[in-house]
Order: sequence, then structure tokens, then C-alpha cells
Amino acid sequence: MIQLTLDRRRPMGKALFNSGIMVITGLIIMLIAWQLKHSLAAQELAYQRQMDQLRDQVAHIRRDREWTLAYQPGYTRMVNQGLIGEERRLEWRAVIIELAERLKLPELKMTFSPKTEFNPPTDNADQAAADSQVTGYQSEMALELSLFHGADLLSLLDTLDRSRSAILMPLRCRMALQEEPLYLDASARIDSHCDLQWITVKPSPPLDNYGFY
Amino acid sequence: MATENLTLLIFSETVHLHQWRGSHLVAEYAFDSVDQGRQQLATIIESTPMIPLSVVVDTANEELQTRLIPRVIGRSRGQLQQRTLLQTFPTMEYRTFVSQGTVTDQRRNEKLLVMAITQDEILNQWLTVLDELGVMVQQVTTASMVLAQIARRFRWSDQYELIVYRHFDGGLRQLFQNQGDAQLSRLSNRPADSSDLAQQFKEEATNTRQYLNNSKSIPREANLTVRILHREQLGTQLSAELASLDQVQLELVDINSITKKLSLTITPQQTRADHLVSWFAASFPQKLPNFAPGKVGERFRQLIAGRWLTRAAVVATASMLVWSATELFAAWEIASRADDERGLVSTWQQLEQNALADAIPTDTAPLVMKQATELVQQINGQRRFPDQGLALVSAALTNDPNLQLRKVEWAAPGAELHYYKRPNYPSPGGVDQYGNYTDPESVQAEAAKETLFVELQIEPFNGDFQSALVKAESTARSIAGLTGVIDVEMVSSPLNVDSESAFSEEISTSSSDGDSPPEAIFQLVVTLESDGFARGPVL
Repeated sequence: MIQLTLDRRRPMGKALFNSGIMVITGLIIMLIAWQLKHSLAAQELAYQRQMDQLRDQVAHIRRDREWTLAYQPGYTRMVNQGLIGEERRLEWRAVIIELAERLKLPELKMTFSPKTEFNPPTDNADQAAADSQVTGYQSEMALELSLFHGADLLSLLDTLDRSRSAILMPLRCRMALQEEPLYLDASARIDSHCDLQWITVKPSPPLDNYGFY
Repeated sequence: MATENLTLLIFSETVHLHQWRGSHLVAEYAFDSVDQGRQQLATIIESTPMIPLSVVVDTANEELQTRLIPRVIGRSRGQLQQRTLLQTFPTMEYRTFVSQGTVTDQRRNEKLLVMAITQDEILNQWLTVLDELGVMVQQVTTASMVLAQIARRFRWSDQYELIVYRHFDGGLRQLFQNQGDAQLSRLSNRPADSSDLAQQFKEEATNTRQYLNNSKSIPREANLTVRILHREQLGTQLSAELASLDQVQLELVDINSITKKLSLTITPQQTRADHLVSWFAASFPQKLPNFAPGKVGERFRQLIAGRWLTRAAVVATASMLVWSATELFAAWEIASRADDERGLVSTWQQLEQNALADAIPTDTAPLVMKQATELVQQINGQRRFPDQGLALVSAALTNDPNLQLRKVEWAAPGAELHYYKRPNYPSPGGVDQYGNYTDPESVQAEAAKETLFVELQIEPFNGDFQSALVKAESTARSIAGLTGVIDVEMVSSPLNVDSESAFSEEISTSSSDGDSPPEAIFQLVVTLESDGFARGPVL
């Protein structure tokens, strides 16, 4: 039975000692080599990540410059007109009343619905909504008018469309003749009703980490 | 580098230590007593540590006995062999056996040569010394077993062969073999008088032949080959002296010639047969039977195990070094790549500074401006106004003053008409009344168009509903023929007398002032091509 002992005076002990020294030396060299390679690889990876980050940042800055040059004038104009930002219902109301007075319309009735989000149909609406940093809002208005002539309604819509403080989208307009065409009176003869959408755009507040505003 | 070995030859009166380096005899020491040998041996061992030593005992006759045991295989064979050895020499400390093959008589048996060193006093003393000095004894064997190995090496395999050489103490060492199997080992004493050496060989050969004949180890009429290891100058004398022996075939082997064959470097004047024995014992220990009990060779076994351990450690360390070298090479490559990438990082940092210098400061993120603009443009593209649709229909009615527009309703794509709702609007997709699948896309496409509801009255009307129907249909056709009109559907005719529904009318043929005149009113739903009526952009 061979006794394993570390007595260096015995052959087995000496062999164990020498073998241990060799193996430990090899392990230390191996560890140093592995550590060196690992640290260099980590350093290389850090450089690659930094380079990727810089590349993305440069591309981002250049892209922002291009977008700024392309979109800033139009955006500033829309902000100044009121299309981007809070709704200007009082301004819209004033425009409608002014038009009605100019067209000498005897009476009108307007009803605003509460503002809701407006998402125009796209191929991937969910993804577009998730990536978008702007939100469209709509306010539906039911506008009832008594007209002398059918063209007055078209004139009214055209004038409202030129106000530029919102995007006007008529949903439906109907007109009904109330009196005979030969009926001579100062009262209006056409009842009209229009459902309109007033659309504005507003930058979305940034989302928090949980996806809430 | 040649392997170093030590051989300790134990004779009756002296002990010799041979130090071999390969086939070169480096040194030879002679010890007259144990005490003297202890001191010298300590000095020698100190200068040559970790060198294995073979002990060759050449002091007396050895007990050689042949045993037949049943031939078995596996673990039982070893147990049977050991038991046979123990039964043969129960009190001997130095004993061993050699298998001489299988013999077939009525059953297959294994032939064992069982051996023991009978006179072990000197051996014990020297093994004690070796143990005290920490010498690694790799084996204890006998000169006759080494001689048998020499005979096998030089193919001395006559049927009856007696190998003889002059012992260091003056006697003759003799080994008798039968077809290569050792059967008798003898060591004759030194002659009392200084008689002629050739005469001594002759007498011993004669005595041994007589003994073999008496013990029936050899038939009386058989020839015995006597092979004598001798020095060159003794050859002629031996030939002359032994020629007179009957039934003896004499073979003289010059020790110097064997030395040359083996390329041994030994001074010719000193070359003896025990030099050959010593070299064989040192060089081929694994081929010799080992008489040593387990405790004697422990250090050597530790040395061998240690050598294997060291070799394994060398292999493992070499593998680790190779692996480390590949890792370091890979690290060098990575380092060179990292240097390049560091330069690229500097370049990109400079590019980033340049880009930042060229950037236009804004209050609003450029992405927001872009998305807001695109959203407005997208909404603009979907805007529809009723003016063009109404103008289209009005233009169709301009040439007919008898048609009065009573009601009109325009609906944007996707919005429903209020004045007219389709009674059986098809669900998106499904199976129609004929069992055919309806195309959901076509239904959705129809709903996505601009629609225009028109209610017209024919005025004046003379009561001829047939003419009114013709006029209504011609009006519908004329509207359908306009550019941008996809479809015109008459949803209500001047007088609805559809065959599929019930119809009832009360007519008074005698006119009176209170009766209201009949009216001819019909309704059309016009589907317009929306793409042609897109509103201009807000921007």
C-alpha cells in the first residue's frame, strides 16, 4: 500500500511536492492568461459598446439636425396658428358667430362634445401609438343652422377651414328644404345640420417606467 | 541521458556494489563487512539519491521446485499460485514463483517453478542497512535467475543444458535447464587446494551429470550441453580438459565476446560473469522473479508511482501551458484589436463633437416636430368636404328645372347617412342567401366611400307615375354617368309598387278642393370616388 505523504525525503512525497509545484505553476499561468484575455476582451467589448453608442449618438444628432431643418418651420407655424397645443374653442365659436352674422343667418346652435383622443387609421395602429410622441385630439361639434341658401353652408365650412387653428373634418352635413322655393319671406327656408370634428395635435407627455403618463 | 542503476551483489564473503549508467559500469565497490559497507554505502547513496537498486543474491544453492496446479483463470489463479508458494515454503521469507506454461496430461495444468532463498542471514543484514539508508530496492533476485534470463536472451535452449561460470568466491555457479526451464541451481564450494581451474570445471560437470542422472532429471543416454562462461585465455585449456567427457557437448562462451555484443563498457581485465549478471539485473528487472517481500520494495514502488505522478503532472502542466499560450495569443490579438478600436472611438468622439457643434438648438424635440407634421399630413389626407360632391349633383340637375332638391345629406367616408339607412346592410364577410361567401373587403370599401343622399321632387307633376319613374331613372343614370360617381342607387321611387311588398292606395276619382295634389318624390344614394375629392392640406 503506497502511503501518500508530503514528506519530501520519501520518493512519493518528493514526487507529490514536485507535481504540486508544477501543476500549481501551470494553474497560475493558466489563470493569469485567462484573466488577461478576459480583461482584454472586456476592454474590447467596452470599446465596441462605446463606439456603437457614439455611432448612434452621431447618427441621432445628424438626424435631429435634418429633421429640425425639415420640420421646424412648419411646426412653428402650426404652433402659432393653434393647431398644435390646447384647443381654442372660444376662437372657433367666435369665428362661427361672426360668419353667421355676416351671412345673416337667423339662428344657429352648436354643441361640443368632450375632447377625446384621435388616432387616424394606420397599418399598425398599436405600434404607431406606442412609438408616437404626439397625440391627436378630436372634439365633435353638432352645428345646426337655418340657411337661406345651400351655398351658405359650404361657404361657412370653407371659412372655418381657413381658420387654421384646428383641422376641420366634416363627418356629415344634411340640408332639408322647409318651404317651397317660391315662398317669399324673410325667414330661412333650409334647415341644416352638420357633424364636424375639430382636430388638434399635442405632444404627449413622456411615459414613466410603468408606461403611464 | 542514460538511466542510472545500482546492483548489489551479495556473495558469501563479500558484497559488491555496481553503479551502472546505461551499459557503462561507472564504479564498483566491494564491502567486506556490513559495518564497512554501511558507511560507504551511505556516502554513495547520498551522491546518487533516487536511484533504484537491485539486489542479486549469489550465496548458496537455491531451492527450485516444480509444482503442477490446476489451470484456472482470473482472480483464483493468483490465489492458487500464492497458496502453492506458501505451502511449498511456509517458513521462507524470500520466495517467489514463475509460471512455466501449461502442461497437458489427463487435464490441463499450470507448471509453476517455485523458488526460495534458503540462506538469508547475509541478505537480511544488508536489507536492514539499505532500509536504514533509505535506498529504493526495486527487487531481490538470485544469480541463477539472472543467468536463466541471460540464457533466454542468447537463445541457449538445448534440451539438456548446464550453464556454468566461475563464482567470485572461487566456486562454480551451475544452472541446469530442461528445454529452457530452470530445474537445478548449484553453487559449488571453492576447492580446498588451488587445483587447476579446468580440472575443477571437469569435476563439477561430472558430479552434476551424475546427480542429474540419479535424480532422473536427464536420461543416462542423453547428451548434456555444458555451456561454460569463461575468459578468453581459459578456452583452450577447457577444451582439452573436458573433451574426454562422455555424452557431453561442450560450448565455450567467452565473457568478453558477450560484453562486446551487449556493448558493455567494462575494463576487459576486470570482466567477470557477475558483471553480466549485475548488468542484466540492473537493466531488465521486470523480467526477473522478485523474491522480496512487500515491505522491501515499498520505496521503489513509491518511486515508480511518483514517477508516474510526475509524468502526469508534466503532461497536465504542459497542457495548461499550451492552453495558456493559446489564450495569450488570443489576448494579444484582442489587445491589437482593442488598440484599433480605441482609435476608432477617438475618431467617433471627434465626429460627435463636430455633430454637436452643427446641431440646431430647439425647444421641441425634432422627433416630436416630425411626428406632429406627419400626423397632420396624414389627417389632411383623410379630410373630405361636401362642397365638391354637392356641386357634382347640382350640376346634373341644372338642366332640368322640373326637379326640386328637397333634402340632401353628405357623409364622409366611414360615416353613416342619417336620412337613409340601408335596411339590410351586409355584415362584413359571411355567407349570402345563395350560400356563397361574401367578400368583406368589398363591403368595407363601399362603406369607406363618400356617400350622398338626395331627395328630389318632380314639380309640376301631372299624376303620371310611369313618366315620373322614367324621369327618376333617367336622372339616376345621368348622375351615374358623371365623373367621380361610382354608383347610384334609387332607394325610393316616385311610387313604390315593388312586387315583393304589399301595396295599398285609396284613390278618389272625383276631385275636390280639399284634396292634396299627388307628389312624385324619389330618393337616390350616390357613392362617390373619395380619392378624387381630397381636401387641400392645412399647411
